[in-house]
Amino acid sequence: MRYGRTTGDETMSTVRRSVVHLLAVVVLLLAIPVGAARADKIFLKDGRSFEGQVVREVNGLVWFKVGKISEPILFRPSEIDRIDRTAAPEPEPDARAEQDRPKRDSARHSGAPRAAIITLGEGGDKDMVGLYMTADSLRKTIPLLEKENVDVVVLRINSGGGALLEIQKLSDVIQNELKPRFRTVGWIESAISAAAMSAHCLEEIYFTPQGNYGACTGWSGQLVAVKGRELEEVLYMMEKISARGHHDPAIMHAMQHSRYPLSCTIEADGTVTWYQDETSGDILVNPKGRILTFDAPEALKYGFSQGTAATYEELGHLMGYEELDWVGEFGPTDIYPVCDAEKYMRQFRNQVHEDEQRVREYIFKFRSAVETAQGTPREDRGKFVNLARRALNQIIRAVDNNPNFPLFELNMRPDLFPEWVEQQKQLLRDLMK
Amino acid sequence: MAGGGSAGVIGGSRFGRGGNRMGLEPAGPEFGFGAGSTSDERAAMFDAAGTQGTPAMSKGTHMCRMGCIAAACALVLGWSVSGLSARVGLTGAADTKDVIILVTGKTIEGQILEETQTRIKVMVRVGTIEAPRWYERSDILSIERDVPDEAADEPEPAPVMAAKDSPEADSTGDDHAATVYVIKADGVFGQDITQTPLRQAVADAREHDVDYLIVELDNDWSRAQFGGWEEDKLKEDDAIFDQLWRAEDMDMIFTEEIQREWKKKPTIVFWVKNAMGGAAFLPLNIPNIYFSSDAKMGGIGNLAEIFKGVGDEVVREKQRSLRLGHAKGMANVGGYDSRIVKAMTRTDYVLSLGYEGGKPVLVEGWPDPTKGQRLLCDDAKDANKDSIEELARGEGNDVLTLDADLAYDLGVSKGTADTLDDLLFELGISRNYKIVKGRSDKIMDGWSQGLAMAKKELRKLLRDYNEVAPQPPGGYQQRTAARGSRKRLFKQMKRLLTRYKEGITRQWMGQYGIPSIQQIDIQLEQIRLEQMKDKK
Repeated sequence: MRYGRTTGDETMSTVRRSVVHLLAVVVLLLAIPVGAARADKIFLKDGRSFEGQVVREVNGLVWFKVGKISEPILFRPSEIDRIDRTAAPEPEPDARAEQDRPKRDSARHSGAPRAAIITLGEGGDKDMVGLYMTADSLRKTIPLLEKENVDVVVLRINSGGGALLEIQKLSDVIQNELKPRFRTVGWIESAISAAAMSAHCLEEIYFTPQGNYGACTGWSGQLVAVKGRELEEVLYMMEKISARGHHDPAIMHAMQHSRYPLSCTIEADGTVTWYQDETSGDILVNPKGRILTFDAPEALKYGFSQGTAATYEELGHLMGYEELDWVGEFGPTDIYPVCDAEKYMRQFRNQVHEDEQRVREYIFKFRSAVETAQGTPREDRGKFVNLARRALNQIIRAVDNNPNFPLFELNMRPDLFPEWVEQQKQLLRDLMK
Repeated sequence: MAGGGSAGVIGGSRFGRGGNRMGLEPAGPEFGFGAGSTSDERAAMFDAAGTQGTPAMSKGTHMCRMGCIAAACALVLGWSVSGLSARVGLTGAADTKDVIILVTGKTIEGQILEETQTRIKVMVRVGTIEAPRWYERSDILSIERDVPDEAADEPEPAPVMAAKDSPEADSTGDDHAATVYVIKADGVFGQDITQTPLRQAVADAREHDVDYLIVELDNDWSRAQFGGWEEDKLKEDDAIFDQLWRAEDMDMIFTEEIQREWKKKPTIVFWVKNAMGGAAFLPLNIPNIYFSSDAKMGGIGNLAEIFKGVGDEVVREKQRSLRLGHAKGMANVGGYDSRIVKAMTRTDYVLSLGYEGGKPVLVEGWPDPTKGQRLLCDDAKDANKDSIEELARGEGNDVLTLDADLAYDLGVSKGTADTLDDLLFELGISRNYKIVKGRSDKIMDGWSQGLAMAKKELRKLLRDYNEVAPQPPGGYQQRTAARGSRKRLFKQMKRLLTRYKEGITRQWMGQYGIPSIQQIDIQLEQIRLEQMKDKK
């Protein structure tokens, strides 16, 4: 149903017809069962308006589903002029995720919203996308988050980048599995290259004071740039991911290649209009020939981030909460509460680190033990075959922990790893025949 | 993709002032660009537009000249500067003082020594203690000159020894004195100055629950960085930007751990005596920086040249961008204008300095002399590139290197202090403080000595390893014994590498052929396998 407006003079007959129509509308409204499709209308300050449904509202932020578009659009308070509603807004569950969403314990779920912080990468030598920041490990945190009845997930990112291959997978987990379940925000300590590209599907991004985000040029080997067709495909991938996060694609272009300058104009109401050139906007953000990396003040100034928070308490206030129940406990070296999902993430990274440090030892042990067994009489082979088997199990356990391990550490496609394992096991069985 | 690293030193360029800054020593000539003149005075006297500059010669400067000559005489005769001023007064008029009222309401009493467009230098008197201090005009509400000084009628205080000659007093105060803990961070940055001893020293300071934690930063800027001779000094235009990553290993001690672990948070102060290379990044995380008068902060100006000649320019530019992002982040944490960091790191960045309302204002691009702006650093292109003559004389300006004056002008330094007493005066606690004698010297020295011994021991262990051979007759027992020796030597190497790994660079290890921990683990497996294969 939609409301319209008549204009011009109305004759009595017109009035009578209007009354009849109004009565019909009222009847129809009364006949419509509660919960049936409604048509809200959102009016923006820039003059645009959309018809659809308010899906969710949190502290002035509005998720609005427009027509048949499946993904709700996030509108910020600064963008909204008003909303005309047909009924009180009700959270409309995403049909796709509804069957997967566990029933929450309503008794535990009363009170302040529950927020949890998960780190993606921890800087230093535990930050590579694909090895330490992975879609698989992020997916594994979801049941742990749901078990703790989390409403808000903060992804604290500290990574210098990594594998191109992992970006779409990470973005898909965030977009399709986290966002439907939780209010999901980014809290950027350092998101460089593939880390920024993975996070770019987030609408809500906050920075730490030292935060940096960008420098997304792809390369390989001796600093050889991704070029030609491959570059165009990555640019296109990031245009789609930018749309997920409601970021102008011009921003990510400027982070990916130096042929893309970037300027912007900040309007009086705070909205930012972006231009992929140096002169159309009032402010030159990135000149041609340079690669864009935001720091915290720049991200805030250009509306890319919603704020800068040094502590989790500040972050909570920036997110609009007067009260938040932060899930987890403090360890002696923690600056925020550590929930079960974050404990898992840390264990995951620690194990990857140990395996990464020792993988050459595992491989050497396995190969040497096999060679020695092959050169030893049958009756003396047992101890060497056992040694080889133990080394092989260490490799298998490393891959179980991180399915990307074969690609980055064994120079092997992950889908070929199981077959390789079977071949090695057969080899060891044969050695004992 | 993950960013790579570059440990090489590439000669860059520096911006310097030429001449020495006037400190507490008697001043040199007050005209020209020699010792004693400030940038404001140079700007005033040397207007590029050719108009008459505002004379820097004012009553204050005149007084300065008279006072400084008097001071020079006083020292020759064995009197102190402050003692002389207490008796005579620099204006020549006895029994008067200048009174400056700040916008905060605070009152400063003393004698005005110098005045420029933007600030005033005052010989501040607090009780019997005197020391010079600069004040921004924008912070001053009013100045009353030649106010009768009732204190001059009081009996003369005993002469106060010049600050440089006095032993550092441990305490001036009572039970409510501000407690001060000093960590001397000297040696090679990333090796002697590194996170383990710093963390231990800070933990010791926490045990004493101090009010002020002062890090006295004076890093070694020599080829000892690369395993070379410490007498082989690096130049001011040499640069090692990628020591940024080592600074990131340490900055959380001050930005996160103290906030988390201390019940009562201390005021953290970085006292810069030398902060070149990666050491230049560390103080930027803290809002309280002071310089000694001959301090330098820089040696990070090779960012534009990083990875030169390797791969594609777009990827090189990405590497620069991500690094600058990290560096600017540190400046943002400390509250400094990140454009200063950009000017210290990129030779292709032009930055100028202007003044608005008496406050310094950074201007990107070339200066407009009609607005009183001056160039801080140019684009190093063509004729602008620093010549070897300019570099040798410290007059280059391809990148920004901060000295005490410039750091103060740009708001990086809060003041200049050559001694701990000066610093405590600048901090406003010189009348009531107590130096806490903790273990920081032992900790820092202990680490450095341990590191040096570890390096020596590693080389010896490797030599011993290479000399291990089965003793005659070379049978199973002798072979087993030899393997046992090799295992023992490798395990000792591994222990030392694990303990001191943050201070031992890959470059040093490569230079001496020291295996990595991973290589040692593989070798240990090899030895184990050989033992399993061996038979009696």
